[in-house]
Amino acid sequence: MTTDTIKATPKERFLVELQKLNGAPGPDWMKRVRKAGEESVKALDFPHHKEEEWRFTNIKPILQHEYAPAAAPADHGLDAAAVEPYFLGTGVCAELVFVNGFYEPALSRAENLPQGLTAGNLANAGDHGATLEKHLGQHAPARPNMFNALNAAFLHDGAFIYAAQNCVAREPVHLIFLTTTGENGPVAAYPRVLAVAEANSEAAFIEQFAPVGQPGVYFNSVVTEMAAAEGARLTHYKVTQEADEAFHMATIRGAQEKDSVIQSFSFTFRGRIVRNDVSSVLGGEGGDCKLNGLYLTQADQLVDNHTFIEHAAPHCASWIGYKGVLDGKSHGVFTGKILVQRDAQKTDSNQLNSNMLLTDTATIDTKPQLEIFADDVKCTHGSTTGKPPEEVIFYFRSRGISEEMARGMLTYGFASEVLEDVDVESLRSRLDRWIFHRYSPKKHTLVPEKAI
Amino acid sequence: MLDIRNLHASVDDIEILRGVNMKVNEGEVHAIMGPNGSGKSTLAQVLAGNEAYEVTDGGVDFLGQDLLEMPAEERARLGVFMAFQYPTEIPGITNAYFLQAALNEIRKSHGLEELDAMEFQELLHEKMELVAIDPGFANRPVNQGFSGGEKKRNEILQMAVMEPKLAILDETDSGLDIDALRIVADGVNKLRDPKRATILVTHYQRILEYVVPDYVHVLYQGVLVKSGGKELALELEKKGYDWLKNELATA
Repeated sequence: MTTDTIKATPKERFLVELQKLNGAPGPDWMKRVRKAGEESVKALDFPHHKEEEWRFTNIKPILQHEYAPAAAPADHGLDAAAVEPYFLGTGVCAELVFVNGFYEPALSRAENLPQGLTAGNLANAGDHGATLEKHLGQHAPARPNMFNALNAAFLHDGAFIYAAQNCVAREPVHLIFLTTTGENGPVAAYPRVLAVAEANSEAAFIEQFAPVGQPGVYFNSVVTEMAAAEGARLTHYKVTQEADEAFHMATIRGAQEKDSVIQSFSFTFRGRIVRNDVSSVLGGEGGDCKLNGLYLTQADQLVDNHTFIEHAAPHCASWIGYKGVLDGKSHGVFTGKILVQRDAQKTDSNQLNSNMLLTDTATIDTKPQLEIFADDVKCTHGSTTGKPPEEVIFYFRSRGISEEMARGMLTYGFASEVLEDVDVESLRSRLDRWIFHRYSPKKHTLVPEKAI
Repeated sequence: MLDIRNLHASVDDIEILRGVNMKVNEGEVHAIMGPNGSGKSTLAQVLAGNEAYEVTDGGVDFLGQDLLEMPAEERARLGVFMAFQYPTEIPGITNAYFLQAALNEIRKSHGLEELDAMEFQELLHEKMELVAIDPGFANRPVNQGFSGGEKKRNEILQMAVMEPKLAILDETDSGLDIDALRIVADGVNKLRDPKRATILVTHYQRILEYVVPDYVHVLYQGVLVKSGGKELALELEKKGYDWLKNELATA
């Protein structure tokens, strides 16, 4: 791309696209979110790496491109056979396919929803008007994050998951977000997810991101909001396997009432620049939040996981555990931020970030950030970065296993530990196979018993 | 089978082995005893191919091949097995996965078909029964969270699966209570075979009550200073290493 084709600033280009959508149809609640988004886009600027929260993540490569917004369901020509490989098949209660952020009912399956669970698309969630009013855009507002503002401004559709009071839905809803690489230049898509678990209910969902079509550039700006009412449990899995040229900026935001549990897993495997802003607010006593993640980077990938838990009430527990394996010239960024408000006594918060660097050119910037205003709390943090010690490699070699194969097995072992807490067997074994194949030397035909 | 000639080796430029000579034939069990710091573990590590130990002189032939020329993994594939004094913990990798990979590497090097997961599972359970190890060990990460005794038994299990031609047990008896020692010794005895040789490196005579050696050698200050039959171990036990040190000092 030459500079003379770009006259407008990136923000102006997004605003021009936004103008074209003016007056697009939609229910009032959607227009309200869009309006807040548009105003925020006008008021905000894209984050700069001079800002503390973006210090290690330069988003310039994302803004170099001109994107056409995914304004309507794409003419993608996908049929059931094309989406079948993404389906988990077992262990899930529904598999909903979205292309460029728009729901594709003909490609989706939602026959096995348990009593009390709603899983569908936002655009058709009008029956839940009060819930949408209460939650949509309330937990992850359009400000101050420009990417959230864009997502709100371009809101058209998304996923809606609702567990009614006392509903127990253990099997997750599988949301498959496919993005087209676009024949007419790169597409920007704005997937949106709202998951609400009412009092004493239990629900789970998987967000999976993948490309369809030829390899190429696109941009996904994603916002996920999760609300767990008193005594509710919400489990969230995110699997990011974007195209190697694609960009992915995501905000995942939880809001927790008394005695609620939110657990979020984030698996990042592919994408040129991927950022996950994962956070939750423990707003009632006895809440529990666990954020787990695994990022496997290669080539010139940049993956930034920015985690944040706010303890706003006493007697809550939190855990942040992220692991990374960095290969090639890739760059990993991890932040584990804990804010303990003055009234949040008896907080028990722990975090650990462990990284394995496979090359001398891969880098990781890792940072715990504790802000504690209460005086009776337990907060720990730790991070490790390294390579397998020689004595461990020698142990393998003394058993007939080559150094190359030993390193592959050790990397697999390090990464796959994160899967131990994944309760969905079909998802766990699929992730296990992917991790295994990435690190197994080519001639190594062994199948680990975990994957069978 | 194994011919060690004038072997000198050092660690961090400090000479530990200063001319070891030893021959081991098929079916024999040799015990190498000696006080702490005499070079017993160094000898085991050098034979297994640990590159942290530098061989400065001498040679080792194994089955007619120059052992010292081979990297550790090739030695293992040829049939050399060392049970570690301090087995390493390997998080995230189960015993079954580790052993299947090891066995298949050895089988491949001999032109044999690799065992698939089902076939291996069967073999593993058979070997676990042979060395009296709980089947639950198969799916636990290698040595992680194992007690000292469990780690040593796990080494014996690995030996049973890999069926080496030469087994070197580096202080496998140290730190074991009498029950664990019996289980380990029992495992070693069950794997005794006219085709397999064993070198037992030990500080104590205790294990030799259960695994009766054909030969006993005493390593002291990097050389074998005395060799004999199993009665030498008893004599050492009775008189202690000081007896030997004094005898050597006056000789």
